[in-house]
Amino acid sequence: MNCRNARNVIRSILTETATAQETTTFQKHLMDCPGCSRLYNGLTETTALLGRLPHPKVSAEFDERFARRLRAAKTSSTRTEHIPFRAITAIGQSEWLWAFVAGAAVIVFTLLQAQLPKEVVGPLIFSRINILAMLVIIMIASTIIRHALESDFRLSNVFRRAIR
Amino acid sequence: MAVLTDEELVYHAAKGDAAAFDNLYERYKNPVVSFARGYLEYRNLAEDVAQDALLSAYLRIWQFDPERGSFRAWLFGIVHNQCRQEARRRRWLWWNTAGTEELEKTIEIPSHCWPDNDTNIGVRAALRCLPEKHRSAVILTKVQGLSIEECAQALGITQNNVKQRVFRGVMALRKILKGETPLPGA
Repeated sequence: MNCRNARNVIRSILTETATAQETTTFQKHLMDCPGCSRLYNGLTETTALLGRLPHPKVSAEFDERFARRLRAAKTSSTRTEHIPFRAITAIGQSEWLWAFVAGAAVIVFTLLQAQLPKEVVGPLIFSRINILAMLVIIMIASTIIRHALESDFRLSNVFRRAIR
Repeated sequence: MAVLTDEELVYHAAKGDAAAFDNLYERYKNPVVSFARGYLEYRNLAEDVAQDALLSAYLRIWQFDPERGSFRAWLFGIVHNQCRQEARRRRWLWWNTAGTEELEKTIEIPSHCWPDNDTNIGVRAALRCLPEKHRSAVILTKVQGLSIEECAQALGITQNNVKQRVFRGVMALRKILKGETPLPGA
């Protein structure tokens, strides 16, 4: 076994996936290679230190606070109720208004284009301004969806953050 | 009375048995706080995130599917996501000058003020110097004792990826603890 292989075995040992044969060959290698031996001992010590880290005991205040929050959650109807697309349904009234305005803008934009003669509309559909507008709409939609998946979503917060 | 497994308790808790969830809470409150404490810098912040994660687990307990993995891995997946969100939020506040006041409000007693011996303080400080993805893998496998499979499930990555992250994380940790890589601010 060379040092390169030994390093792979160390990785397997660290993740507790080394076979018995690998471990035996590796132990033999360690006797002849002080470098690998030093590395292995160092990693074993580090792992042992991590394993000895105590779990902090939570305070009684933590328990009380959690009990209060749990009681509040129990009284609300959100638990055990499987609401599909909960994030979407959680969007408030003002957000729906914004979505409606954006949709109406897209429809108006399309209708206006339909009024134009074909020879003008043809090149316009794939024009830079159209592609840009689409990209902006996609970006806005993705931002809304991303924030909607976060618990405290409010579109006004998104704008407030953007303005800041 | 026989001790119920996590999955049995989850089954009862999902049916509305409050005692079953209390049992799960008692089992996991300390490990969850411990994980959050290893991940985030401040104790109060870690406790808040742990509470959010436990509450989220309660509200979504019906989503747990025992066929997809253990409850422990599922729970730590939630905690990990909450910690990552909080870390991201704090980065956002830090970059955003308008949020400085809010950031200052959340800065409270640093974790290293908790009663702990010097070695543990050093190890915790070194852990926080690791990149996020290495840190979470190391904490889950080496501190919380999750298997590679459970860790992969909690982090949503492959087992080989977990092995790689753990190895690199422990290597980096060893260098920091030996003083080969200085701690920031040291």
